[in-house]
Amino acid sequence: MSLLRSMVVGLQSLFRKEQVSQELDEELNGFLEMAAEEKMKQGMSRKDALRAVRLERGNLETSKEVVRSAGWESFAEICWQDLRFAARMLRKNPSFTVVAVLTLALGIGANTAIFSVVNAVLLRPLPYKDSDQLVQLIEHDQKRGVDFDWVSFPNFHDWAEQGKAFQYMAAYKFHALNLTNVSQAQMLFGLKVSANLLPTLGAEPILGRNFRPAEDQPGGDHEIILSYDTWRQSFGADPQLIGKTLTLNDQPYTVIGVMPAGFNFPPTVPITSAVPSRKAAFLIPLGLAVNPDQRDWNMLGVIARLKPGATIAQARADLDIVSRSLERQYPTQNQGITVRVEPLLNQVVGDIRPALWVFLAAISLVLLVACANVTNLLLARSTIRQREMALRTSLGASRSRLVRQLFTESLLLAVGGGAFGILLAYGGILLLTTLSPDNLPRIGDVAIDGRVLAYTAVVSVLTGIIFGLAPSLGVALVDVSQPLKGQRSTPTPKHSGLRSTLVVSEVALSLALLIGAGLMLKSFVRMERVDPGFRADKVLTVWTILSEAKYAPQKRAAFYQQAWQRIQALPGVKSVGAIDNLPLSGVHGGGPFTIEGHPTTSDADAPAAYRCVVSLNYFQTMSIPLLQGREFTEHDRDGSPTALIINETAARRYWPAQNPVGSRLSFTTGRTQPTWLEIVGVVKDVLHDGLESPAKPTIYLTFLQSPQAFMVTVARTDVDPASLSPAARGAIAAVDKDQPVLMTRTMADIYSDAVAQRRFNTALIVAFGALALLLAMVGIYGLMAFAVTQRTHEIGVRIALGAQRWDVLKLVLGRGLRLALLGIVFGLAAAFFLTRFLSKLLFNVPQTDPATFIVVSLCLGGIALLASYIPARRAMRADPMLALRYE
Amino acid sequence: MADKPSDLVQGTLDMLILKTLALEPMHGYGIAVRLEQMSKGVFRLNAGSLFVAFQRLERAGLISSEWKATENSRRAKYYVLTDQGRKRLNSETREWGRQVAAIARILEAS
Repeated sequence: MSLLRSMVVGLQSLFRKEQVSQELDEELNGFLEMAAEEKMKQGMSRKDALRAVRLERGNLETSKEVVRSAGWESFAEICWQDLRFAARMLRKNPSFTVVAVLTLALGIGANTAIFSVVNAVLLRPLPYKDSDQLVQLIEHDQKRGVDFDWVSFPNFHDWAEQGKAFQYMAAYKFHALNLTNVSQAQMLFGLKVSANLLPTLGAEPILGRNFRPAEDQPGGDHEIILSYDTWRQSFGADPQLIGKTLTLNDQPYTVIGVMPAGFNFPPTVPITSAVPSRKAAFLIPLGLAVNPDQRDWNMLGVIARLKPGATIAQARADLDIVSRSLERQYPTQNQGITVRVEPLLNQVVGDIRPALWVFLAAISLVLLVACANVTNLLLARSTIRQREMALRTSLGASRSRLVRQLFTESLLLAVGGGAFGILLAYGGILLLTTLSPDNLPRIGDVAIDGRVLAYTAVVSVLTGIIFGLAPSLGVALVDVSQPLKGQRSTPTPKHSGLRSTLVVSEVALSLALLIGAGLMLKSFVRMERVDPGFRADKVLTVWTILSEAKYAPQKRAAFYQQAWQRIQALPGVKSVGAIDNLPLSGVHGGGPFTIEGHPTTSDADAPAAYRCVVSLNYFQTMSIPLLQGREFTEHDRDGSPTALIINETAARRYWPAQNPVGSRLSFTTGRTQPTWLEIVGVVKDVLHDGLESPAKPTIYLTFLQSPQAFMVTVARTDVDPASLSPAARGAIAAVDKDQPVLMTRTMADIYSDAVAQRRFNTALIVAFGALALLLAMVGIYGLMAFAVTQRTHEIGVRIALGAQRWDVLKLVLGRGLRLALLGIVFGLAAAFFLTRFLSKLLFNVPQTDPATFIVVSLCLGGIALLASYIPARRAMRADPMLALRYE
Repeated sequence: MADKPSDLVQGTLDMLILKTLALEPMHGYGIAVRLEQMSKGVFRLNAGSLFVAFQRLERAGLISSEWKATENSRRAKYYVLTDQGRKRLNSETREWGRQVAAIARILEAS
């Protein structure tokens, strides 16, 4: 209340300055007059009385000044004066101002851009109602220590029924539908969901309605809700679409709703090339019934909304009880299976989180280097400004006033840097979002919002305080009498010591960053050199899913045989193969199996492998060599015994020190009667899950014996594979005009997607390192150049006294090198400590890789030498006469 | 006469001004004279510190002011104790009494 009054009165006196001043004048005058009258009554003359009063009570002007400076508004006024003066000083030194503001803008701008990514990706809540109550449920296999993101329907059903901490629990599954009976057959990619998915997310259609609870039961599942984009792009935003029937996978589906434009679930599509779109185009009901045999068919994503007030810990405890009871009930399939409850946001951004924090930390180091540079500039300037400061002190400015003045200048620079920084940040964000891999979750939401602006403001002011502190306080320590005596301003030892310290820390920080960059770069190179086990160049992939209703297994074989023949016949195609789970695409499937003669009691103990179905020429087309036994042939067909080919890893792990060819295994486990299948060959490993994951045991089946609806056709070409895309699509359409192609991509693109995340991470850290290096070099150069200028006189005298130019060169270079070496020593220590935070981002490179540490240090030392060589050469050429004439 | 009142004196000055105004509204000079009389000449206040105190008290809402004519028909700004000021005076007086009593006890004890 009284604070408010003080504000109001203060503002009044600021804006009605004249009136307030007059009133004070009158009041004080009256006071002194009254005192004088008192004295006159005692017989003094008016003149004497006035003088006596002045002595006793102080004179009018001083008192006025005292009263006026007591209110806060006078402080504000002084600040305003300081600000105007600071602006004038900065304008008078444009080159200094431009360099300082640009340096700061670079640091602050890069920091802002990275923070805006952190903000959008990590800090902003998910776009659902009360999204902090949403969790993802993940199966955890304790025995193997692995998580399964996907859950079987019977388990989901039991969790939902028995879990007590949840308001809703919903399941979803990716699904593709062929849209036919329209002008051009089209493949839509979307979700099968339980009827309560939308209530769980707190979302509603903008048109039509949600599914009714009974509609996700088997048989009653022919309704579809379209996404906003699909409704607009494929149906021209027709409001009459609700209630109409679409032909999808040759089945009739009734459109019952359209989702709002902003709706997107799941918030990130799993990192995979197999998904042609980042947004689900439709929702259809799950339509599943509990089938006890499918308790280990993990295929559903499960999310849940906690009951209001329930905590994650409660939910975990609750599901622990449920999973233990399921374990007792179904020991074969559920032994050792527990449930992990993770906030949905963690699930979305968990993978990228460590990298983003490392980026923010790294760019903050760059900002510190920028601060050190600006501090150095300011210190150099304050040496030059010693005369000005001395003059102002002798004219009556108090030291605290000078400190405040310099501080205001620093803050003004920082604010300028911040303002330009935001402009740079806009560019930076554009660059980041263009360069970032598609699968970086929520990258599309990156923008400069209130929180980012607040962050920038805080960072700018902090920056201003950090770099302004030393120069401002330096003024308080300077002996002001010296410069006025006309003595040449020599760098005070205190200043040059501080400046050297700053350069040393700059070099140290940049070295730490550069070592980080070096480690990332080396990881990247190591990853690029990894042999994926196949040749990715000049391969086109064609993705198709046949509708199961239209194509029974035998018809699938016929369809694909024809399609492959047609693609094979295209000019430029050398060989054609196909696989269901394409390497590096993120698609995989598999499970436990039994080796003949090695029975196991439960799934958890059984050997497990990925399972892929391949066509006859697949291995040849992808250049995957056969190591043992034989490849699949036309004789491995329906009616003949099922043949299997395994990879090296499976052979090594499950048939150690023996030839697996001829051994038999069965995909049934536990008590079921096994069907034995024979291994006919062993092929070389393929890195299925990406270049950074080791090869997994894999079992290949032949397409002729287990024809799949979903196949990826791979065509090796001797022309640019992308150019064959239309022809390949044409070949598919020629077999069945109603059969859409999910997508065509070159294998090189898929490979590039698989390394995109690392490429992005590496590019960022290397860019930060380069920025820090540039700043540090400017710092060293600036310091040495300044020192040389300051010592022109001394150097001139040395030369006049007979010092050789080489000695002068040594003098300057030596100092620069000493600083650089000291910086490198500290930088190595810092890097040794800091790179542990990078270890998660490295690949096949130890976090203290000696080669990287040594090479980067040597490079930095060399560049530092170069940066001090330029001023050193100038010093060497100093003309002794010119130097002495300065006197 | 101290050039600048110490912190203790500054706090005390505020209280003494409030005390003076508790009797009747008064102008600046009147307050100064009254303070000097009450303190038997120990306090001799210069205009600066006195008016800074007025400004401070007025902004805190403890006193208010209005321009009036003096008995010598001169225009002067009269200060008036507000309700809030009266409350503050009472509580400060009690606090002061307690402190004095406490100090007295300590001094007696030694």
